[in-house]
Amino acid sequence: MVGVELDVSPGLPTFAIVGLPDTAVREARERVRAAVRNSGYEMPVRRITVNLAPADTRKAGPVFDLPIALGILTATRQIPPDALRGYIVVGELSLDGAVRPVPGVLSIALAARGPGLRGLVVPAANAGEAALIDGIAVHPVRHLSEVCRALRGQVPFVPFASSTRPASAPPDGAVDYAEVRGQAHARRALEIAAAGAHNVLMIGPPGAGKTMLARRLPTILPPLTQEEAIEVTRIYSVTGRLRQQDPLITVRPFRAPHHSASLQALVGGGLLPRPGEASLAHLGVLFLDELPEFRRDVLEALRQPLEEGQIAVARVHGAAVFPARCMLVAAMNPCPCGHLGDPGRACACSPAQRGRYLRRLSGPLIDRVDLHVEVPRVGGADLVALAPGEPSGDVRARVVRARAIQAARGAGLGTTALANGTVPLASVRATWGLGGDGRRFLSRAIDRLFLSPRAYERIVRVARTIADLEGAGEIRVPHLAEAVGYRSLDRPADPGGPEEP
Amino acid sequence: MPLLGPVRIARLVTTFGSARAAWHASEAELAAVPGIGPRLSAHIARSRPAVNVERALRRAGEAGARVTTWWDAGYPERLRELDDAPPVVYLRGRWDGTAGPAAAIVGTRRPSPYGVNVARTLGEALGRAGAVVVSGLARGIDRAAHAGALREDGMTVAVLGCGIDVVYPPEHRSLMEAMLARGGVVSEVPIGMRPRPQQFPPRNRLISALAQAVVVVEGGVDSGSLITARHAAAQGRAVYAVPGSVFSAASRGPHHLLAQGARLLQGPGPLLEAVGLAWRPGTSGPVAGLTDTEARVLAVLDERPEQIDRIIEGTALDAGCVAAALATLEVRGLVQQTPGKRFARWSVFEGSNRPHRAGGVTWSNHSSS
Repeated sequence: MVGVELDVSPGLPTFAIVGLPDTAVREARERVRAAVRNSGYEMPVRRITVNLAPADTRKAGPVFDLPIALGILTATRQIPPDALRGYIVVGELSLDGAVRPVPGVLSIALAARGPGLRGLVVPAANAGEAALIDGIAVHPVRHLSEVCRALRGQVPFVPFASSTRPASAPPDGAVDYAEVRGQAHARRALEIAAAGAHNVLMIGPPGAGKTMLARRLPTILPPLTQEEAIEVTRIYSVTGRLRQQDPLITVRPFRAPHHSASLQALVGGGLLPRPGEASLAHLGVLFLDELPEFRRDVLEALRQPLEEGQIAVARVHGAAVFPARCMLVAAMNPCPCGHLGDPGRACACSPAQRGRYLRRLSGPLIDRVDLHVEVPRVGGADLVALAPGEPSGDVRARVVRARAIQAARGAGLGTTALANGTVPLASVRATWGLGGDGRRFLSRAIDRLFLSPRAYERIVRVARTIADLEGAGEIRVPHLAEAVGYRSLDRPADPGGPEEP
Repeated sequence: MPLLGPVRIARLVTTFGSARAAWHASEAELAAVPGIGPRLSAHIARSRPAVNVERALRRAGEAGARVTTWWDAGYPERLRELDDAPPVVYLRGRWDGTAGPAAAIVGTRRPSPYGVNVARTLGEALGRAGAVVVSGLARGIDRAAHAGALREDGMTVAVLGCGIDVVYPPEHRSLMEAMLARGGVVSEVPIGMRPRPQQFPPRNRLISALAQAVVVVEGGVDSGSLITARHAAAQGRAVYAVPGSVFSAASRGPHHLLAQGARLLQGPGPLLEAVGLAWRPGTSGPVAGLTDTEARVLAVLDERPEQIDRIIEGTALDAGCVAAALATLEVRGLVQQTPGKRFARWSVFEGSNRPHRAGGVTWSNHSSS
């Protein structure tokens, strides 16, 4: 929260803004001057000093235009002195006095809640966003003169009518799992991933439908609660990406940054810290296609969000912590040429080439992926022959049930918000009911299939989710066996080799 | 040390009475040894200071390796009789180097599922009967042979082409660790040495030397497996070749060997007989104790790998059940997984697998050497 202080005193006519303003703030002088004059008010020919408090943090953007203008009008008695008391004002001005929308209004509205607040004056285009927060009088404004008339008591503020919010209408271009034909194995794996918030790696040749599967993952995740929706909307508000009509984001986000993405783009940053793709995917899905092509340092920076569900970005001009509890869904080809394991085409890669390709994967990141899913290419004839898949709604119902079981289990541990994929290891050991049979099977499987020992914890987590989907109390051998099947990358490379057609 | 092979080293040690004496001999003394001469002795004297014997021994100790020389008691017995026996051999694991029943199973690093099946099943049969399975810890056939022996709690030994403390290929770390408890690894390459192409052909002579019989499962006509087979023939070991499809490039090597007179291997019986043991079929009946789901999944599988989605369709079971059943079957050794999440049934040898002694007919056009 920034306070705008203003002093208009006799002297040479100057207009200075202090308090670490950036260029956009400093340029407010010109916008304010023109807007005041063009709205029919008088710009004083005196010495004007604007102080943005606290003085030691950087101020950025044009949000201060409207408060500065109102400050000048108050200081020159064009608005009654006490008229502004109890109002919080944000907005950018255009030269004709029109009030333009600004980013981050939702966060401002959240911070503004409290006693003594008479109202929040926001650009009309941001009003829907601000109105998401209960208990605040939101005053949408379109023009500087409109604000002044209201403050002078000539006309009342027009209260914001929140009638325009339709109850969770499906967004444009909605997708559904029913559109995915075949892929029974991959669909099952993604259902488990959704049910336990497990990170997933899909391995398959180009054109197998990895992206198609990933894009539909948000549709089987549990619907966002009101609080979660506001959390997500806040992040989009800060980056100025909200729709003006119906600003609340009710669908879990799906973000698919390209593999050339920079560290800043992915985890956030900038001179003044801004959220990156991992935060934009908060409570949704972060999809990294062509995983081995991403820069290593970029992937390793994802470790913190995957572990802690948030990202701390520290820069010279300030630090920020952005929420980033997203499910990671990554995809890659099985080998450099992409055809390993594809019966229709021969793989042209040597074991050494394949080894190099796999080693490009960032170890710390892969260690946090619970399911490895091999996705085959479905031939054209099969595509036509196969029936449409199960619709997302049915899958989602099972996911929601499994999540409820996890929340109930977490209730005793204070981890209700966490799922099997994200809950701390200590509580895993204590409460997950892995019996003697299961333990024996698992150590036998690790011995026999030469799985790397790091797979153990991942397998137990996934097996717990499979048991939850089934409503089973104890993790039994079939649950573990299925989970073992989702650890392709932990097995030593097995022969691909030439085969008879 | 380059230019000094096993033969010359052996001669030096014999001449000076011990390795220590040979190591400390003067340049003039070295030059007097037949077959060494002034140029080589000068080379030895030059390179000697760069070698730190104590440090090499310490590193070997840290890696848990035993260092044995030709003159030591712990030296592998079958290597001792070689003309070009390595002067120093590094050993890790439980295997003590005694000359018990042993067979080598070798082949390509890029086998077909059929080749993997044969190698693993032979490894199992040998392991069950109590023979040591010798191979090279490479990908493909080698791995399948070692793994087969381990499944039956048998002994298995790998001869490495790199230092004994180096895991190559790296993904075989867990396999190698399992082998240390149930066998061991052997190398003549100095400690810490990275794998290099020129180190692999010489190690093949040790694979064949450690075994009484060598089986080539799959491989091309110019593959390392054929080098191993040639060494085996020269060392007087029995050479077996496994037949395959005439369309399969991976079977050209064994077929070539068969044309040259190698013995045809159609089952583990003759191989076990060659190492002085008898074949016993697997103790646990292969398909006993399956759940209904597992039996249904197994019923739709054959030797040709099938993608998991097809198996799900074929059984009309739900995806989770099928995935669980396949993993259980794989752990039980009834099903093999290949890349692309495809599964095939393991084939097993049936019947007694005794060598056919029907004899009687001699084909007039028989032309093997």
